[in-house]
Amino acid sequence: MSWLRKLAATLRPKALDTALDEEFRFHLEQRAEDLIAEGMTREEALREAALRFGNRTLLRESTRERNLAVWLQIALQDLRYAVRTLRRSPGFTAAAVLSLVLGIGANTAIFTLLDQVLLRTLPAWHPEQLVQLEMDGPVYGVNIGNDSVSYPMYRDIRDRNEVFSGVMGSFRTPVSVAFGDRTERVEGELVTGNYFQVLGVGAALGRTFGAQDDLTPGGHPLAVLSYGYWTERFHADRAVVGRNIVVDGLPLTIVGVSQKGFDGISLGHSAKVRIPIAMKAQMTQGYFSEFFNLENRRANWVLVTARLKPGIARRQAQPSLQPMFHAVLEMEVRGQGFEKASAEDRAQFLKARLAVLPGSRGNSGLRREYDEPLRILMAVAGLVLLIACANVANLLLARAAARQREIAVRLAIGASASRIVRQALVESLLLALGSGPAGLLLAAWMDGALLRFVPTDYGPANLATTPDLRILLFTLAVCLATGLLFGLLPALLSTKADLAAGLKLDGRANPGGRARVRQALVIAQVALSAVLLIAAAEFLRSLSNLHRVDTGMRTRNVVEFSVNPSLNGYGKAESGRFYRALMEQLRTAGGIQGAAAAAIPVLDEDWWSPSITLDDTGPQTGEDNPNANLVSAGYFSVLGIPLEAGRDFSLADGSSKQQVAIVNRAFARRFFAGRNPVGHRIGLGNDPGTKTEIEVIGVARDSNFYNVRGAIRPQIYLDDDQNPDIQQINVYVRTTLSAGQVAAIARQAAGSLDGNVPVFALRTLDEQAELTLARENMVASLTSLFGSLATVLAAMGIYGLMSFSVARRTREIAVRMALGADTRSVKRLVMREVLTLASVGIAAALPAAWALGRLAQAQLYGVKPGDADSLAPAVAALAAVALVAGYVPVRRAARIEPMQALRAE
Amino acid sequence: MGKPGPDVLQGTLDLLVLKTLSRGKQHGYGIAVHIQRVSQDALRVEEGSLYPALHRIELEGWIRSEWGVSENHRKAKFYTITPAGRRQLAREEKQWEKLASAVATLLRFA
Repeated sequence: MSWLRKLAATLRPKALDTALDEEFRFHLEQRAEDLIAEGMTREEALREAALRFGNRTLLRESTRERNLAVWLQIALQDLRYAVRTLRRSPGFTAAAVLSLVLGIGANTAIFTLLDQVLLRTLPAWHPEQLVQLEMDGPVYGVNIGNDSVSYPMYRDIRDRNEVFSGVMGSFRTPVSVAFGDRTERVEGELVTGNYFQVLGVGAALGRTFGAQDDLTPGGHPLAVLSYGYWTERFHADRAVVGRNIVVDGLPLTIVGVSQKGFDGISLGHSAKVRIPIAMKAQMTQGYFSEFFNLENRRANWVLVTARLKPGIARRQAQPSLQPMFHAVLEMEVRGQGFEKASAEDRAQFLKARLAVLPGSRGNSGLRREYDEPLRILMAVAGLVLLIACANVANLLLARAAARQREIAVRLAIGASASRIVRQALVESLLLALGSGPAGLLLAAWMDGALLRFVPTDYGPANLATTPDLRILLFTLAVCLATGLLFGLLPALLSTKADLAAGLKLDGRANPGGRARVRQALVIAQVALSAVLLIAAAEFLRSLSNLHRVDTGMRTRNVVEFSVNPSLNGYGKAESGRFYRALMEQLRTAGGIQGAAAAAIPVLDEDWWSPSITLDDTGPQTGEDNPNANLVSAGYFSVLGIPLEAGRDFSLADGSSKQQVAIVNRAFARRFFAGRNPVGHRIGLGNDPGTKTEIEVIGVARDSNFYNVRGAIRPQIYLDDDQNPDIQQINVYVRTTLSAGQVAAIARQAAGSLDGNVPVFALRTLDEQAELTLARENMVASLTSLFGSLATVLAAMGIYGLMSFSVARRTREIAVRMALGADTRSVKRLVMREVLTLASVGIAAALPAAWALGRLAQAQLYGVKPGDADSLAPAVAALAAVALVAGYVPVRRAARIEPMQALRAE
Repeated sequence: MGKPGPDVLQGTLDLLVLKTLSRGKQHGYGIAVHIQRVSQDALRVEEGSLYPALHRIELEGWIRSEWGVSENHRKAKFYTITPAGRRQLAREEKQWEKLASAVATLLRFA
């Protein structure tokens, strides 16, 4: 409070001076009156009083300590004193700063990611008014993503609601952009005309879209570039507005560049080009466009974002939308696509609701995936910072013990205790704030490395890691909190010193209480390190379990890559020709043992799961659809998946009328109760009366498809020669060549067919499997790193405390040795203290580690939290480090020369 | 402003001021007169040290001030000791006694 008053007084110095003058005048008059009473004349008395009082201006000045300048001067004095003390003990300062930089850096690094992924709102106008609309119920038809609706449904919601000031739709899709002499595949987004208005995002150059740009299907060949793409690819050329770029083979006119800093509504993704959704048919030709178009109500693909009218809450909006939504469903269920639906399907469909979800942070799969890992890492980083604090507090206490005499002297000559505490705190804050900038640098470097753990289809996720004001404020707050946390206790303890004892010449008072505090701090450090090491052991074992998972494939020596000719305006027939020619060239290339292709990429967390009907048991419920894929001949041999029954696809199947399929063992178990499915017939779809025209010709061994982590699911493989709807082609090559050599062959082969069709996502299948473990890799690597760091800090703590303890007990040890104790028993005496510290710390950690493991269970694969296989190595490592850290001071104790030590007393 | 006066005096002055105020509220002049009278003129508090000290002690939160009317009906600033001030007084008294007895012992035996 007092500094507030100081500040107030400084802002009104006149008032303060008047008050002082009044106080002084009273003093003078009172004095004069007393002098008169003693017999002086009034004149003499006044002069004498003034004389005694001295220079009034000077006094006023010196009294005005409230003056901010004076206050600042005192603060500066404290600061200078702190700098001087820190410079006097460079070893201490270096150790403290190092601990703090590591702790602060780790926290800032993780917080930067956490902030981007979990906390930050969209750079839009009033983001809190934005909501995401999703259908909550079964999909009847086809869908891309679970959070989408059909375009006609979007139109209905947009036009028939009373709670939104605007409703917009969008669809993310890769596009191929040709400009100048280069063609590249980049992220694109199809958007409704009101997209930018609803978000409240403007143009940096030219204009954005308006409602007039979204009226005629196929009639708006326009594009808005993102600011980042404009500066990167077009060198921020202002003349770009009005020029053409060729997107998916169609020339589009650039009408503008969107505002700086706007990266769309999907975290981690950043569309480079936005195109009116009216161009859907032209932009994504191969992408099942016969389903996913502007008219089909049975295909969901549009992501809907709406802006609530001012004053309307999200929870209010949800119920008020249901009558309208239900009316649309009633209309749909009587309309096209539902002719063959069962009564049960219709009833289920009508139960759907329109969910209104928070949209201020946009839409993100990244958030769902990284939410828990990032929270775990933030907690881990917090623990590291706590350990660093304990370490610095310990160092401060050790130094305070050495400075006890100085402080006792200062107290004795009248320095106020509060001043000494304040100076100690200033020193702590200086240490913490001084470590901040280095921590920020460390964090920026760490974040760069961390982003490699957050992959997307287009390389590392598009997350900003350069510290901005938010991050700076966070770091500042962490520094201040840290400074107080580690500084307060030592500062308060520093004035508790016994004056008389402190003044004794040898300055070797026994600060019993303080030693206990230091022991407690070291035990806390050991305990926190143990928690971290146990967590690290669990995550590492989980990761190694995942690496050892038998995927059911031979992933070694397989290189994969993708091409997507449909992005270059290829129709079905042209795509098919391109695909067959490419595969032919690859199969005949030297060093390649086999080449095959799949429509859905393997181990890429992508899926297609149609409902099915079986010849004997009829339609299957939609809850447990199998995965499906279109694969080429040779797929099973290239990926090393053995066929356990029946036969592989043959060339003859391609031209045969009889449709064929191969299923995996899990499919046979699930749908045929383990009977041999070969010869049975299945159909896609589960409406009553669905024909079963596809004959099962073989059974393949079970293998992972979606990712490495998940359980094996029932799978149907269809022959892609019989289903020629080709868009993206994912090619698998069994080879002894390196990925680089395969890249050259693939580029050459694709280039010989069409130089504008880029080859992308080229990597080995092992690398692909590793990509799906990115989160596990991130958590395991960082927890191990932080755990090791914590252990080093704890070792410093143990070493420091034991050195201090040995120095303090020199006399006791000397007496013991003089009385005949041998070196070994002295060592045992000191080692016992080390062991006690370590075991108490570790024992305290066990319940905490167990509880944390339970919380993180969802992130663990094949590891039971708190089992001995994780505890044993962590505890052993920590105990070993503790013993080593303690052993050096112990050896010093054993070398004490009794006579010399006692004589020095 | 120069540096505050020598710390030794300052430390003692705080003790004297707090002790005086522990008897009840008093204005600056009253404090000076009380110290001088009770110590039988052995201790004289200079105005030059008293007022800076009073304001500093007030900022420490050990005393509070308010404007009031003196015995002879003049406007004067009165100081009162706070609970924190009483605790500080107890500490300083204890310290002082220790130091005094230490010095006394030294004088007797040296």
